[in-house]
Amino acid sequence: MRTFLIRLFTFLGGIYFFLEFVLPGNLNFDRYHEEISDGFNAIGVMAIGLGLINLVMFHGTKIIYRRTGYFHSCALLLGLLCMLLVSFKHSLLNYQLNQQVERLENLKLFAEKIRSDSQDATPLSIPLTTRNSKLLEALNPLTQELSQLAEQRQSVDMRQNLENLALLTQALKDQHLDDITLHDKLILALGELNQSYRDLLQHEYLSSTTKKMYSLLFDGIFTSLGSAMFSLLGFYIASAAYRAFRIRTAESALMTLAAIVVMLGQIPFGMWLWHGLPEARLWLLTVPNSAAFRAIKIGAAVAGLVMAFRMWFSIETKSFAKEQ
Amino acid sequence: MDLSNLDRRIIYILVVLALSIPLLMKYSLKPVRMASADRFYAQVEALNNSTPGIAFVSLDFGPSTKAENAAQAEVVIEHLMRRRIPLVVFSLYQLSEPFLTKIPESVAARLNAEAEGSSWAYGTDWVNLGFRPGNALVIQNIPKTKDLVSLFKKDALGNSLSELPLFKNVRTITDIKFLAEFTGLVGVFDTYVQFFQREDYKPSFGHGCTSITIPEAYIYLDSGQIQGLLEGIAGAAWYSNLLEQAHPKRKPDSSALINTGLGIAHLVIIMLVLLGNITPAMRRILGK
Repeated sequence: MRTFLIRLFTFLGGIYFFLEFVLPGNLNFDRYHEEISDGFNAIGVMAIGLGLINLVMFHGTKIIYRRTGYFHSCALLLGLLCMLLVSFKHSLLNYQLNQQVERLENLKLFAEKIRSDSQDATPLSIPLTTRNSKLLEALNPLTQELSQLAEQRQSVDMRQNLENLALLTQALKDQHLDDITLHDKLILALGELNQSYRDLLQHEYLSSTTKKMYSLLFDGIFTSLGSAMFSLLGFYIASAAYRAFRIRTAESALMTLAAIVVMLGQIPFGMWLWHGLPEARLWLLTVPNSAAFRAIKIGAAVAGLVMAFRMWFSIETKSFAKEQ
Repeated sequence: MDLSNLDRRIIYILVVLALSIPLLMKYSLKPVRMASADRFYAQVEALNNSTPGIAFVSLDFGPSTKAENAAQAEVVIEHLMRRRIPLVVFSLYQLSEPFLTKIPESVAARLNAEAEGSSWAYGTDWVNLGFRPGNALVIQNIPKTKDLVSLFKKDALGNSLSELPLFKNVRTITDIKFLAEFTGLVGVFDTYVQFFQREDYKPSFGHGCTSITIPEAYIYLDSGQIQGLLEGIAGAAWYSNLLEQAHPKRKPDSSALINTGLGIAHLVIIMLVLLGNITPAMRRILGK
């Protein structure tokens, strides 16, 4: 049963993407493609636990039984825990920031909806005065909170925007909440207040300890180490080139010559030797190289297609089938 | 001493010296003209900045290839900003997140300092869409969607895209005039070539690759599937040179310096290859 289900879902997944690609657009077969794509992302997220669990099990065992190299396992798990906690806190901060700003955004959207419904003369079950009243009711506590924040943080922009908003809400009240003409200015004022509120929160977030730690760990340590690790390749390549480019046959002589022409053709010193080197390099890349790479690509594509068919029809079943 | 069997440590020391001395002495030479970078430049120059439309810049590289790809991304983003083509930065690779923020910000800061009376602002001149998981699935959705704003919803900072001036008139892929993609990863570039187009529309495409993937990228340039190519740091250095010629007030960046260092390292490698062949050749000649 298990094998059958795996094969069935594999086949359905493959047939969907195949038909989505080949069928004409006017058939609307890909109507829910975005939602299906999100579904695949959700499935991929389940793999998060796999790596973590395996790492902890493997290195945890080494630490517990004090096997050779357990100190390195300690360092790995400590680094993992550190980065996990800081990244989690960093994401949480971001989420909280967006949640706080969303309150004002929702009110702005509500004001836009009131305006658009009035302009389109949409029949409303709730009168305009009631809607405007609810809008101002929701704005009131929020503007008080933002005023206090603006005072504490001494934010001139926010105070200015709050004053503008206060004038507009007062004008609306003076019109007995039955006026739609002020909504354009109200929406603009809400947008500006939203932006200054977001800027303030963003500034606080950037100066927070969590953000600084995240920057230190990711930008300072991880990015630098990544570059350093990759830069080691340069030395290996130099050593490998020295040992590999030995002219023993006509083919190896041709390969060495091509390598030298390509290298000299893209450096300033090559021009000192011969002005035609860049053109020679270009010819090598566009003619023989392109021909060879096209052949490699087509071969790899055909092999990939065959492998894809085998996986689609579950011919490659060794991972899932029970051992006979 | 057997020149065909040098100790590896001597090779490593030579490479370190070849790379570090030019950088420390700030020795910089004019880069070699790269025809593919000329085409990339011409493509950006040909973009019409009076009609609505944006450039889509994908930074799919991480710390490992930032030496080449970051330099390429900087010069192209600078060119797009100078031409006042609004651009969106985006990535399919999670490790590129810091570059999505830093590169446009640093370029805009430099341009703001250089150009009196002009300014470049977030939300109007550029937007950061951040990292989007899903690889090919994300790219497939872009040509299909009838509304890019509802597809992406928010930028990396949490701003709703409908609030940003850049996205005011941007709805579908036909509003994307130009795609620039920078990567050293295998398989990512092919995804854009394959899926970032519609039956009736395909934006101009410029690609920035690392030196190791140049041979593979050339087949797409030759077939016309991409209209410009930046070949590693050499391509970035020549592009930077073109920008300097067009804008004399522009301060030179580090790409020419790095390119010169790389050139000296290439000479060292060529010298080592020749040295490695001298002793066996002499043996063969003397043996005869």
